[in-house]
Amino acid sequence: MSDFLQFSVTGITIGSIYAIVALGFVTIYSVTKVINMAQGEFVMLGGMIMFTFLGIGLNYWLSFLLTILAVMAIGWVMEKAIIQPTKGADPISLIILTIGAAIFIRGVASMIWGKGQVRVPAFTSNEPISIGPATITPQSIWVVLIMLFIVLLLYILIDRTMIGKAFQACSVNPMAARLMGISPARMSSFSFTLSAVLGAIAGLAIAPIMFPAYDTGLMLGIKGFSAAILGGLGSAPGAVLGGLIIGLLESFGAGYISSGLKDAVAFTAILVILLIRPSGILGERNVGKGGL
Amino acid sequence: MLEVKNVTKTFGGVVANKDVSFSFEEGQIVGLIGPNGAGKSTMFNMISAIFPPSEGEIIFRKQRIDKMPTNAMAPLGISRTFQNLQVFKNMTVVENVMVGRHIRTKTGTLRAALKLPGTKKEEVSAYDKAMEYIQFVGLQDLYDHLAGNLALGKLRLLELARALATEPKLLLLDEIAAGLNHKETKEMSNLIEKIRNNGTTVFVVEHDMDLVMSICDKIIVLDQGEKIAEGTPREIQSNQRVITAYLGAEVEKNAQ
Amino acid sequence: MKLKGVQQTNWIGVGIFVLIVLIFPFVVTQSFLLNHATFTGIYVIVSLGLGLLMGYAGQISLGQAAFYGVGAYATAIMTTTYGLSPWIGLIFSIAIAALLAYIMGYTMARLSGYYLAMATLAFGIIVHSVLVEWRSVTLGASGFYGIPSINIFGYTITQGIPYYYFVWAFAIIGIIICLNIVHSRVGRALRSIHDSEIASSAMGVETGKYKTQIFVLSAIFAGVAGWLFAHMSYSISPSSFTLDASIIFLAMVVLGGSSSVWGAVLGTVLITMIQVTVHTLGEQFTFITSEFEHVVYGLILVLVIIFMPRGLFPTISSWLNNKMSQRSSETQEKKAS
Repeated sequence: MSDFLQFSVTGITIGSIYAIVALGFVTIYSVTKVINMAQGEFVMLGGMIMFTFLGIGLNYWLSFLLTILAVMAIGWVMEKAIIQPTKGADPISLIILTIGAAIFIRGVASMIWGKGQVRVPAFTSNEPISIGPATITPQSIWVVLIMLFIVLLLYILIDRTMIGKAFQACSVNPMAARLMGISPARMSSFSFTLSAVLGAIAGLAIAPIMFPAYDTGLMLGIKGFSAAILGGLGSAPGAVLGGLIIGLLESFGAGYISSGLKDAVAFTAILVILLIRPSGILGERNVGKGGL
Repeated sequence: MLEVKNVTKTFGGVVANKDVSFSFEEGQIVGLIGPNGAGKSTMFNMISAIFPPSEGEIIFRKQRIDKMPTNAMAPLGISRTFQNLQVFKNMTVVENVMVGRHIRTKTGTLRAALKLPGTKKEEVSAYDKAMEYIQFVGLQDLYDHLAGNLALGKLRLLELARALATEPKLLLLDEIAAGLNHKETKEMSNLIEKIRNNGTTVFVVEHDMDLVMSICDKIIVLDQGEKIAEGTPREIQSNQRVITAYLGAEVEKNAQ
Repeated sequence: MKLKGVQQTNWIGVGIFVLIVLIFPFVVTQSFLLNHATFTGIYVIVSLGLGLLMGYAGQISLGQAAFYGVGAYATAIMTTTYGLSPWIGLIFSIAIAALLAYIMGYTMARLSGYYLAMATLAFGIIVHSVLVEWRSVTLGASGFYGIPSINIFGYTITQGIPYYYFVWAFAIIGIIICLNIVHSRVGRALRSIHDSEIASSAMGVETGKYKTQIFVLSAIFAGVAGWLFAHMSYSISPSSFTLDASIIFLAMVVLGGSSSVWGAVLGTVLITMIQVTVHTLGEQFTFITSEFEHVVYGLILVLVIIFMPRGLFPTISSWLNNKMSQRSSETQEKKAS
């Protein structure tokens, strides 16, 4: 029973990170229909850039802010440099394009920061707290809180603001949105910047727990992508649900089966779920169109 | 030959076809007409099994086809053209028509990979047969051109040749004369009559009234998803409901 | 008989290519280059299958290294653990890769686009984890060593020139098989799916069936390549069959151009040349590390998709065709005037 509780805590913590990464995927996908395979790299950059700022002696929260701004700029540049010129490419090309970007960023990161892991201090003192038979670190609580905060923020942004309305318009019908004076290009740019921010925040939150290295983004990106797919591409609640499911699957897989097989367990489960629901748990079924 | 029984199709909440029934016999040219948005294309897409009806049955030569996959239609003897032109634009004219010979040939992946005896012979015969259909529609001068480079009138003929290459018993033509000039339309109607005389039943959706009235043996009229009339061209021309439906549409158009 | 207006195999091109392959060992005598050329042949076989899958069946696989690994491990287990002949190993390499692909292709037939990409990615990661963790069969992370050489008619195919020719014989057979398929009823059906899936199925093309078949075929190619790799390398470990390897295969196909069989060959040769160059330069300049190599791959993928979405080979060949037709029309005009 105590094992079960401990695995649940670990699963929810890591699942929250996957959820944030998945929300990054959804943010970009819903507006541009692009899957950004470099989403995990944003997370990695969040941790690494924070490490550098702290290294040159900046204040913790100033570094925090500057890191977000830096990653945000990278997201913006990435969209301008590679997404704008390839508008209307097919999904296969877009996947390859963003995989290319991810490999590039990862390579550059390894040239800058080397191959070792870096350490970033926790937000607050990180003495583990005991809750019944399980222990939990304050940073884990922070991670979950940040995930919830982001969900709330996105909800307000998308549902309650003008820019959110424009966002929704673009994802539902880009043509009509253009007619209404909303620029899909600007929205595409905005979605990359926003999802870079989400990535950076995820990176900052997880850095004290998992000690990032240049290649941290690879698996995080894949897990985030899986979470987004599992939940049903384009669905934000689906992304959160998908993230938590994968986090829990992994944690229980590692605990009850073998830590080496945790990825295999998680991905096998994903394949099985996709078999049953080919468009994800909360994904909409393709509706046939009349009149061809 | 074809029997449509109480077919209804809805998309989301929108009703495209409502309780439509009709049937016709072999050896005719049958027309399906109606004002814009009458549900003609939807009906065609259901008969060619692009999507299934929400309710009702479609029976072709005593076989229920409404739940079959699209690719089962050609082997049964139903072939079609597309209003919005679905040619294989990165392939040549003759290659396009050779895809029409797909179901009449049988070289599979393994046989093709190893070039087993007989594959070459089949390839040559598919080629020759495709050329016959190209000749039939009069595209012989363009047979090695890329389909993507053809003009609209030629593309309509290409779609016709490709559909004929499957050797259909029932040929569905979805606005085959749309965008054609007077001379091309005339040639098209000659071709359609020739196809009927060769023993293929032809079912056309058409906007061009002259074309429909001159070649059809029977006409079915849809309006707002429902069948409002059925009969010979002469009967249809004097049918009050048809006239109202079309006039209504005209009046609306003028008002806009 | 020549069927004008129909894509057909250019046998002269195949002949020239075979000739280049034949004389290469006489021109390039450094053994490390010959070694790379042999590996290139192995990779060509994988990317041929992947190219057919991407360019013709319109599907993506982010887990092709899994089939490659399955092929290598199947023969390693059969020959090393059970002491069977490598030729029996080949049967297992092909059969297991094909079986996995069939199950995968059959069950995943309903998926497309990003969902399929996800599924193949997951598959690759699962296979890699199993190779590492199923220690009793795969010997875990350290893998196999002492994989025997291949014998043919009592002659042992040793490393160096013999293995080079052995590998390239398979690669050329692979090229011919691909050309045969592409220029057949099946190839036409697959190309038609690309242009209009709806018209294609209205003509009776069984879209799903061909997609599954090509998926299985691409896995068989990867399996055979894995078999060649295992018997060339003497030892294998899971580290050769990671996601990174899958991505490099993808880069090869994308760079060369997936809509052409020769594109896969060209892309593979170029990527291997880049690898060799980076390694050689790395010995002289300290800043050129293996990470630098990844930066280069990343850049290649991005630049190719932006500037040459169809890949090198189709771009070059259509450019040449235009040049030629321009020249012929110019000469015709001259004649006319």
